[in-house]
Amino acid sequence: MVTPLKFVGDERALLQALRARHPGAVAAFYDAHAGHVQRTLRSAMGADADLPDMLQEVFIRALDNIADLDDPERMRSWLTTIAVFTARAHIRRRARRNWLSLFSPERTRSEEQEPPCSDARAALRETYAVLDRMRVDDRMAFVLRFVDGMTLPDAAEACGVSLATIKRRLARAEKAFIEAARQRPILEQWLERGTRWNLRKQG
Amino acid sequence: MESPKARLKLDSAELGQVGETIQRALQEETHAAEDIRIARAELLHAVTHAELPRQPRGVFALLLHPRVLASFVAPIAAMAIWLFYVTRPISFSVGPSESSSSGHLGDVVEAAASESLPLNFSEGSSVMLERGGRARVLSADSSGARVLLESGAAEVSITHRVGRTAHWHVEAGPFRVLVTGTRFRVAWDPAAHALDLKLHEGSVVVTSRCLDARGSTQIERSVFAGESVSLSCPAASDGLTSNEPAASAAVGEAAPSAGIEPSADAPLRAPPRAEPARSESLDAYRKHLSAGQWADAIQAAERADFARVVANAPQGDLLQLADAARLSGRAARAVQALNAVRQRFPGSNEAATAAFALGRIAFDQRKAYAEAARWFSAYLAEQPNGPLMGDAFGRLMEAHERQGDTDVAKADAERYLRRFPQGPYAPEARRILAN
Repeated sequence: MVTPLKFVGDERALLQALRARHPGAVAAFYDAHAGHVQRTLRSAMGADADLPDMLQEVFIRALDNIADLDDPERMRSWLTTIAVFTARAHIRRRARRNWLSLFSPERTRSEEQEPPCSDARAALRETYAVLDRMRVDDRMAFVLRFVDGMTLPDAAEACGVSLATIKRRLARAEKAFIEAARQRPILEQWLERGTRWNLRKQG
Repeated sequence: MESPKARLKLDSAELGQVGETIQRALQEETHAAEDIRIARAELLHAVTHAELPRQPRGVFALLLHPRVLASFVAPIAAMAIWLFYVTRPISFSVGPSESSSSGHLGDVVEAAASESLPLNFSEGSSVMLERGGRARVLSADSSGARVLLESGAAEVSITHRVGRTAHWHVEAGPFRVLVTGTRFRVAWDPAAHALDLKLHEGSVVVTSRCLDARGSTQIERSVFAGESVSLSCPAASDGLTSNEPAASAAVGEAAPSAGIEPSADAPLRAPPRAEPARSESLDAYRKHLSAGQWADAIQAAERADFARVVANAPQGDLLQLADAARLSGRAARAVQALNAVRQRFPGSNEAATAAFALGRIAFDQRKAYAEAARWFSAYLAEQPNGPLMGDAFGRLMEAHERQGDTDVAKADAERYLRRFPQGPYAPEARRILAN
């Protein structure tokens, strides 16, 4: 168990300390932003066993490139962008790996998933199965906008594209998602029941 | 049953709400604090011990090492190609090779009155549909396919694949012909309920309940090369309806009869060609379905004769047609389409989903709680671990309560809470138990 020295200071001091690889600063940096990054990754990937590895990878990339960040106030959005690109790379890497390991034990295991024990889990699997079939850029636009609830400009910045591009991707993703959901009764019924959940939880 | 507006949640303006539902489910299905804790410990360990990797290491990176690449990539690629070949599902084309088109599962294939029509499968098997014959390929996987001969005759040639077992089924009315590699001619007359089978090579097994005098047991009969058999069944023992009692076995009552308008019980087999001319083609509803025009889709199907449409539509279309009917306020048509799924595709996931949907219609629109309970029980009997299991348990509990079966409802509520303590019906279950 590692207990780094505690870092004390504002965002600008934190940025300088990170460039110096101060362990206490790394812990402070992680503690301040890990929740947000985890949420972004989770929206992009779904309930994925690799989320802790990816979370670590985002912060490793961030520390590797910390010299590029000159405005400490942009730290959160900068990390979001890294998370988006990490998730995107992971999805592509996994697609390649799946092709290469057609007969690996991992593949066999993944097909022997335990049956879903709740409707929500089953529908969640369906949701991400639909997203898996989308272009990865469209998928990222969709999850940032609708699952993460970002504004269009924020989603565009996170993906490193213009507002017009994110709108185009979103339009494609919306269409693909709606069409696919209509083909999947489980997903459709689950999504329809969203209101029921809301009412009961609030009530 | 949700109102027609509920269906519109899938439109773009409502996707934010859909996203919230996804986000909420993600929160419940993942362990954010645990993920964050694990990653933190590893990250800080790496920083403290100056092990910060510039690139994450893993199996993929190892595979890219030149020596590993040289040693393994070629055999792996060869194996991948071989696996792709042997595990890909069989596909098929319809028509002579010079003018064939891709076949689609569930589509009706009909030979003209003047000439035969070949169906050629990718692994070498073929079904030559004789003049006027009518068939459809219901499913296909890497080892075989399921072909339904609706009427007429077909010359069937199943290729024996070295090192692999072929699993082909040719179905005709209540009969099922199990094939592993052979050539035969099969003919089915739906009016006379008569099957004729002539084996040219190999052997097949014919199964049907109607071969049993009491009609309660599947009887098998082997047929060998050179043999010809003629089998017939009375119409009443047609296997197409035999699935329903099983669905209601869990509650010990007859399966519900969900038809709520006369045409809902219309025969599912296509009537003879001498039917009156239709004003619209059988699949005209499809363009409306894809455009989300529910009422128009149902009207198009009605213009083409709704009973014929549901007797011919592919499996996936039937559930969509049922949705379209339900969402345009045409419950009777929804029931008709769902009944067709149950009768034409017994034992399938879609048939179980149809049972669930029939339960919802009975519950929400007709307040027929006893019938709803039977349908939800049917779903649970057919798909005990199905994706709608939680909903079916919850709905079953509500149906029993509305029906006045308090003790049964309480038992349902206990069962529900044991399995889904945080499920959407949990508050309802606790209320029932508290009363």
